[in-house]
Amino acid sequence: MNWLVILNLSFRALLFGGFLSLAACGLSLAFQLGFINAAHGDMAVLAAYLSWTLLTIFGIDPFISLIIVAPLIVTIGFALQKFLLNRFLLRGQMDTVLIITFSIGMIIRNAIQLIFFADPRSLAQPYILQGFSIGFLNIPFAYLINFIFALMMFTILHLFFVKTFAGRAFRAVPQDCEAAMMFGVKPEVAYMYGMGIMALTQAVFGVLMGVTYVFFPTSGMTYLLLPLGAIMLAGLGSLKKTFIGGLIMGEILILSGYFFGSEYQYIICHLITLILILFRPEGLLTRRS
Amino acid sequence: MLEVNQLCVSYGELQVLFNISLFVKKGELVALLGPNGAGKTTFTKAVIGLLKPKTGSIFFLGKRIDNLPTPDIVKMGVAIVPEGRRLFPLMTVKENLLMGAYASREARKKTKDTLDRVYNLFPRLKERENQLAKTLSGGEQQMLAIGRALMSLPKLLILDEPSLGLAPNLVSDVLDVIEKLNKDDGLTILLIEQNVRAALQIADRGYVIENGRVVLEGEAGEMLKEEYIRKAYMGGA
Repeated sequence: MNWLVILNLSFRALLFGGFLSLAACGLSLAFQLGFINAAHGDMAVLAAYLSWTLLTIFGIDPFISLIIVAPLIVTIGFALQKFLLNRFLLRGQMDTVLIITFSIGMIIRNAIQLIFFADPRSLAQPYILQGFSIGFLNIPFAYLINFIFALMMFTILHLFFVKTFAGRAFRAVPQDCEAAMMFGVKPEVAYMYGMGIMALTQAVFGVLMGVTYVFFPTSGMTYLLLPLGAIMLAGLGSLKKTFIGGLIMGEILILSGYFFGSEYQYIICHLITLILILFRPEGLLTRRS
Repeated sequence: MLEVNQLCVSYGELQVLFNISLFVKKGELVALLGPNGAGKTTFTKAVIGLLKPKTGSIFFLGKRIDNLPTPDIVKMGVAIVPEGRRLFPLMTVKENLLMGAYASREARKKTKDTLDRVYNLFPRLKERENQLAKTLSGGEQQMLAIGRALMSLPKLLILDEPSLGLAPNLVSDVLDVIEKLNKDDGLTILLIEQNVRAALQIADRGYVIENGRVVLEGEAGEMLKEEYIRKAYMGGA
């Protein structure tokens, strides 16, 4: 039990967890609107591969590539929402939406595999591989930058939801959709906003993830299940809860990697997620009504 | 301002409204009365676009609205205080009020002034500005629902059973506010009520619906004296 290592890992896990909660954002929004986007993780992975393409062919730095990749993913998301998903969502056919998004996810994964093959890829840049030390803490730059990006996006989202008419309307729809309509809100527009936020956060998450870690065509599953676990841990309903859920999940992932080995860390996380779904779906931080 | 012609509404095979015709002129306070199950709320839903009529038409400011989706109708200047209030439970008093201004660009611009007016009308709401709507009492929730509708700077205000579930002293408070909005501020109001006497006392004209049909209409003062009404709704002569 090397306490120094454990402390370092715990701190790193916090940074990672905050970053992970960025991926949980979009999923949480979808849940509150009543549907699950099974292609959630694949959207992030798609962003990573797009960024990799820009890097390899044009030499564009991954952070810069966000300027192209993020709008692209958002556009794809909007198109998906407007032409495929909205008609089923408005009719309340959530299962159909689940099947559709699951298929889209499969298509994305297979397309990526066809084009890029199954080799591991990375967007790592030399300037990001360094770290720095504060006392006994060893902090990799990438982790810190990811955490800061996540905080920035959370702040922007918070301001959106609290200070703008569109953000408030978005919150009103899951609370009482008919009443929202009685005050001029079009549910299909709310869904578009939801997808837009989801696509944006996933694009940012995906590129940052690609810079920090290695990724494969199948990585999408992990970035669906880990955020799902984060949501299950803390519950829905506020950005704060999503953030805390991410932090907890981050700790679980990294610390179980230390104690049980990296072969088991994901299984442990997914198992905990499964147990939570079965026995406490409203989340640990939500009061039982 | 509002014109309803021969409106027939059905829930599937079951017809609920039969050839309802009524109108509301600018500046009027019109009462729509009737017992439980008469079809009053069905009528409201049809006007606001949540139900589509089988036959008949609804016109607002000369434009046909029965084929429009609810958000579009509301944008034209119709505001509703729904039956049961339908507040957003997890949003604060202030946020509920702000939602009222969502529908119109003009209402959004004038948010600050309208908020002040609403708080003047309902000082209790200002006290509870940052409380979640679900924590308010029944009377406060009704005030909030009315305030929210007022935030859209409506041309026509529809209130669906505002006195429902309120203690008698609160009922008269609410009706006083409604009367004030019409007589002092000139707001055109369609008031849907079970409380016949109270509604007719503040209204200009009234309609009585029973079993989906209009059975009586006229000047409010006249209707208060009507034998039929006194017997059926006000416990005899």
